[in-house]
Amino acid sequence: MTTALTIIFATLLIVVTLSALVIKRLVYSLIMLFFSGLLLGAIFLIYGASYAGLFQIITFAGAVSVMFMVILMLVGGELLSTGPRFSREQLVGCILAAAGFLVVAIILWQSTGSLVRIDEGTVTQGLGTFGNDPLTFLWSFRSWDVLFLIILVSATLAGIVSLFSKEASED
Amino acid sequence: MIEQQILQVTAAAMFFIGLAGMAVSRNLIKVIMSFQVVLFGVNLALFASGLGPLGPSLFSTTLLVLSISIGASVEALALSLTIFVYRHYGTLNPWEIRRLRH
Repeated sequence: MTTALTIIFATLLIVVTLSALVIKRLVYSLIMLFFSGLLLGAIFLIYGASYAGLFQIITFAGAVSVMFMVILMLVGGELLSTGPRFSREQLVGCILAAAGFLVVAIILWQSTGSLVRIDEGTVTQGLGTFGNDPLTFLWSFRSWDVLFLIILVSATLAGIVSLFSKEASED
Repeated sequence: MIEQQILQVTAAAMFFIGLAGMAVSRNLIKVIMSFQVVLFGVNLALFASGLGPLGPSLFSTTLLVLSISIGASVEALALSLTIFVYRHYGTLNPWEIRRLRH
């Protein structure tokens, strides 16, 4: 049941994401990106990660989509995203990306049962000594996440306010 | 575990779709959208790496929430910079902006 749901949602996610980047009109592109965030949140929810799933939906399908919409309203006219011709550099970029995906996909598909799983057992082995394992270090200091997040969000806000206040003073 | 592999391959596909989008796009907003797709791929890979028989591990979920927050912050900053660039140069085409700088 979960496998079938995973296949359906993963396929939908790739199709919706691809269409979000292919569609030329930015408003439709944004709507597709909204659905992409929603589908990713749904995948998290299927596997029981309700906190991460809801956080994903609230942040990306909610806040970031609204932010994009405001930016589109401010920018207005420039709705065509790509030029009329597909240049050689762009073609090379696409081919390189496709080749990279093929390599990674083959490696992932071949590694049956040997994929590294990040869990508490992996990271609590060296607890107290920290060792050289960055995961152990991260897990030991996970309660600092909140502090780091507050600092990060404050820095972002300060950066945005500083950008716009500088622009206002120039006007 | 087949689900983990499906999710990992989907994550790789998302990552490279976003990367190609960043290389191809000629609009800064579209570049940021592609960045968001790359971020979705990374988040999905992080989530899939913590999947086990009993569901996702707490550790990967913690890192996932951290990654989502950082991604949203970076995007907010990038979008505000985009507005700044648009008001300054009057265009969102990176090639055009580079030409106008010289």
